[in-house]
Amino acid sequence: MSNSLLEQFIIESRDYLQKISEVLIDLEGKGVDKDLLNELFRIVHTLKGNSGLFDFPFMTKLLHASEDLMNLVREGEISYSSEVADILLEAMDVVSIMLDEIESSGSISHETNKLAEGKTKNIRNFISNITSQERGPKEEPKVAAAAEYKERTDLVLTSFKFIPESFRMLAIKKALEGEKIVFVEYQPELECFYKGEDPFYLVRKTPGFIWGRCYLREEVSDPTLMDIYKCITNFELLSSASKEELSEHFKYVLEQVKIIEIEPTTLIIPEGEKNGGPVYEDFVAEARKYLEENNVETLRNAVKTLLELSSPKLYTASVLRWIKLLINYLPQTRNIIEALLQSLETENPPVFGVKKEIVTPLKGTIEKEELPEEFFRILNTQKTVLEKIRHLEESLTKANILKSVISSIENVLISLKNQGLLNEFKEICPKITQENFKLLEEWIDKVCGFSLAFSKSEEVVSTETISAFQEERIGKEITSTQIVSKVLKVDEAKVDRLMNLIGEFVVAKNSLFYLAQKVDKFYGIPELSKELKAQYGVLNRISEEMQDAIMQIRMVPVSTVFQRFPRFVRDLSKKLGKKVKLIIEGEETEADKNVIEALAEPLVHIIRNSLDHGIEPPEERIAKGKPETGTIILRAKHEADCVVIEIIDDGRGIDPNKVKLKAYQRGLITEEQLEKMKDEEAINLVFLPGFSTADTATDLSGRGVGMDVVRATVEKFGGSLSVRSILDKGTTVTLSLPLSMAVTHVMIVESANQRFGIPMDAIVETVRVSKEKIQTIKGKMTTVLRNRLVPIFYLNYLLEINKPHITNEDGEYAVLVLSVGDELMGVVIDKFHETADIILKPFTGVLANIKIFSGTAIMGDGSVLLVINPKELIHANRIQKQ
Amino acid sequence: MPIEFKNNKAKLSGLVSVEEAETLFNWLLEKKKPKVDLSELQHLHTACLQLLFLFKPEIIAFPKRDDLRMFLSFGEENK
Repeated sequence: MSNSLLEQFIIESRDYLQKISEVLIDLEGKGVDKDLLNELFRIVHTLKGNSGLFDFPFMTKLLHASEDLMNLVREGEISYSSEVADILLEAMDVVSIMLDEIESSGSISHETNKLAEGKTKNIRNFISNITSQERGPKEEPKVAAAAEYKERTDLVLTSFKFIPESFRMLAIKKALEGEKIVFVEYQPELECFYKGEDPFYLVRKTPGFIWGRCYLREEVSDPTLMDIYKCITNFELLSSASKEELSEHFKYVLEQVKIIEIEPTTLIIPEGEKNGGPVYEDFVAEARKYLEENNVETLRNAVKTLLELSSPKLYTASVLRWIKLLINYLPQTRNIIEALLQSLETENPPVFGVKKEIVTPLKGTIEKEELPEEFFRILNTQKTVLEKIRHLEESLTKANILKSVISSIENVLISLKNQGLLNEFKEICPKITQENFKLLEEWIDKVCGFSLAFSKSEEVVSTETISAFQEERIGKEITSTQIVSKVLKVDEAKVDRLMNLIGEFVVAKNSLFYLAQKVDKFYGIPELSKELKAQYGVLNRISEEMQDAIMQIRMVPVSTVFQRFPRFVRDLSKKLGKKVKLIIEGEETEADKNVIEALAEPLVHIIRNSLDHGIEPPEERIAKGKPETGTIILRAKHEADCVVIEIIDDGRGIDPNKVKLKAYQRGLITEEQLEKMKDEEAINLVFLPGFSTADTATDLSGRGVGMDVVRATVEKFGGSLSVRSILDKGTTVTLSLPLSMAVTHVMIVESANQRFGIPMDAIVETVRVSKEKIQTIKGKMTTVLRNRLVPIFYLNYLLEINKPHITNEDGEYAVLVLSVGDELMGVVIDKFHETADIILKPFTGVLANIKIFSGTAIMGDGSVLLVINPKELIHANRIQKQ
Repeated sequence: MPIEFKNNKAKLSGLVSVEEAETLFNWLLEKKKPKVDLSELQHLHTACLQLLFLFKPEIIAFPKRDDLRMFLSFGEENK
C-alpha cells in the first residue's frame, strides 16, 4: 500500500470508528444527549465524506445510510434506542472489516461488499419502518417533551429578574445584533479543587460573557467546621456565545453545567414600584401613533422626556428604559415595543406572546398562542436545514433532506393536533420541489411570525451565519487535525530500529570498559586506562539517557487496550442477559507498548470470565440482596517498576472447595493436597492448565483454557498474576507487568568456564557456603541460611554440564540465592562476576524451544551471554527429579 | 504576598490562589469584624471566593475589574 492518502484514511477511520463506539457507549450511560448525538452524526458524516475520496462505493453507501439514520436520530425523527446503537455498531464493524481488507490487499473483497450491501439495505429498511411507525403512536412523547420544554422556559422566565436590568439590557442589545443568548448554570463538583480546577476562573473566561453571579449552594451552619477544600459554590451566567462554543469551553466539566439557550424576550422584565393611576394613557396613545407612522425620532424624544420626568425607581421608568433601548433597533423590535406600551398602560407585565398575532404577515388567522415553544424551535431547525441544503449539489441527498424536513413538520403538526395549520401545510406541500422550496421557507416564516422576529433581522446575515457555521465546523476539523499532527504517528518499526541501534550502542559502549581494563592489565598504562574509564562514564550517561528517551517514546497509556472493553462488556453482557457496569480507572497509566499489547489477550480472558462466571444474572443478584447491576472495575496503576492491573468484580466469587474438588477430580492435585490445601492456594488452582469450574462450557468461556493461558502470557512477559476471592462478594484478579522490558539488568556468573546471565530481580543474595554446611536430607541437598532451610542445586547439573563445581581456597561454594515465586533456592556456581544492563534477544527458530534460557545478549567484548530464566530453572529441576 | 493582613483588615491583591485559602479561612475565623480591601485583586480562587461568601466580611474597596466586582455583590440577592 503505497498511497499515503489512503494510509492516512485508514488510520483516521479507525480512530473515528473507535470514537463512534465510545460515543455510543456514552449514550447508553447518559441517556439521550443532544450533543452526543450531534457528535455521532458528525463523525459518521466525516467518515462518509472521507470514504468518498476513494473508490469504495459500498463503504460509502453503507456510511451514507448510517449517516441518514444518525441524522434522523439527531433531529428527533427516530428516537434513540439500543436497537439503533446495535445497528450502527454492526455497520461500523463492517466498515472496520473493509478497512482491514483495504489495508492488507488494497481493495475490498466481493463477500464483504455483499455484506455491506445487505447492511445498507437493513438500515434503509429500519429507517422506513420506524419513520412510518413513529408517525403513528409515537406522537405523545413529543408533545410531552414540548410541554416539558415550555415548562422549563416558564421557570426560566420567572427567574431572570435576579439579573440586574443593565445586564439584561446588554444581553438584549447583543441579541438584537444577531447573537444568541445563553444561560449557563454551573454546579462544580465537590471535589473539583483537588483536580486543580478553579471554577471561578473558568466562569470568568467564558466566551461572550455578559453577566454572572455565584452563590453557596449549601447552608453552612458552623463555619468553623467547614471543609474549605470542598467546592460548594454554584455559578450562573449569561453569555452571547453559541452553545457549541460554550460546550467547548466547559468541555471538561460538561456534566456539571446546564446550557440553556433563552428566548431574548424573557429578559425584558420591567420592574419597579407601581404607582397606580393610569397617567400614561396619553403617552401610550401618542407613542402608538408615532410607531405606526414610523416616526422614530419623535418617539425617541417623547420617551426620553417622559423618562426624565419619572423617578427611576418606578415600574413605568423601567418600561420606558426598555423602550428607549429597543427604539434603536426598529423596526424588528416593533412588536416588543407595542407590548411594552400596553404594559405601560395596564401596569401588568408585558405579554409578548399575544403580540405575535399582530405582526404576523399575510394571514393573521393562525392561533399561535396555543403553539408550544418546541414547535417553533423545530421549525427554526428545519429552516436552518433548508438554508444549508440550498447550496447542496447532490440532488439525491437534497431530495432526501427535503423529504425529511417536510415529514418532520407534518409530524409535529399532527402531534399538535392543529388541523388548521396541517391543512395549510398540506396545501403547499405538493408545490415544493428541490429546486424551489422557497414556499416552504415562507410558510415557516409566516407561522413563526413573531418568534422569528429576531432571526428575521438576521435574514440578511443568515447565509453568512451559515457559512460561518460551516467555517466553524471546518475550523474545528482543522484544529483537530492540528492536534493530531502534534502527535507524531510513527511506524513502530522505526522506533524498534532506533531501539536496536541504541542496543548496539550500549554494547559498543560496554566494550570501552573492557578496553580500559585491557589497557591496564595487558599494556600496563594505568593513566590511559583511567582516562578511558572517565570517557566511558560520559558515554554511559548519554546512553542511559538515550535509552530512557526511547523508552518514553515507547510508552503508551493503557487506555489503548482498555478502550475496547466498554463495547466488549456491553455486547457480552447483553448476550448473557446480565446487567453489568464497567468502571475504568487509571487509563492514563503508561507502560511500554509491548507490555500494553501483551495485556490485551489476558484482559479479554479475565473480563470474559468475570462476566460469564463472576457476575450473576439479575434475578440471582436480587435474591442475594445485591444490586441488580453488577460492577466490574478495571483499574491500572503504577507500583514501583510495574504496571498493575486489577480486575475487580462483585460477582459470585470463587468457591475454594469446589475448585479443590474439581482439581482433584481432574487429577490435578492429590488427595493429600485436597485436604491440606488452604483456601487461598485453592483459588490459585484456577491457573492450572485444563481447569474450569463451570459445569457447562458456553461459547464464551469455560473450556478451561482461559486462566492458564493468561498466566502463561503474563509470565512470558516477566509479570505475575494473583487472584483473591470472597465467596458471593467478588473476585479480584491482579496482573503485574514490568513497565518496560527492553533492558534487563542481569548478574553475570560463571560455571564450567561459561558465562551466564541471571536477572537481578530474581536474585536475593550471593553467599559463600562451605562444603560441609551442605547437608543431604532425603537425597535433597540443603543448607541453613539465616535460619531458613534452603534447597541447593548445582547449576552444572541443572544445565546438564558434566563438570563438578569448583570451590575457593577456603573450600566454599559460590551460591546464588534466587527467589522464584514464593520459593527460595540456592544455586551453586563457580564464580560471581559484575552486573550489566543488557538488551535481551529471545531465541528464535529451532532454539525457541529451549525454555531454560530466556534469550541471549551480546556483551561488550563481543561474546554472547546466555540469560537463564530462573522459573524454568526450578522447573528443570523438577523434571530431572522425575 | 497576595494577602496582607493588618489587624482586622486584609488586602487581597493580584492573584489569590487556593494555597491562600487556609490562611484566609483562619484569619476570617479569628476576626470578629473582618474587612477586606479588594481594590488590587485580579482573581481569586473559588475556594477563597466561597470563604468571602460564607463570612461576608465588609468590603471596604471593591475590585477595579468590573467582571470580578460583579460576582462579589454578596449580601442582598444571593441565597
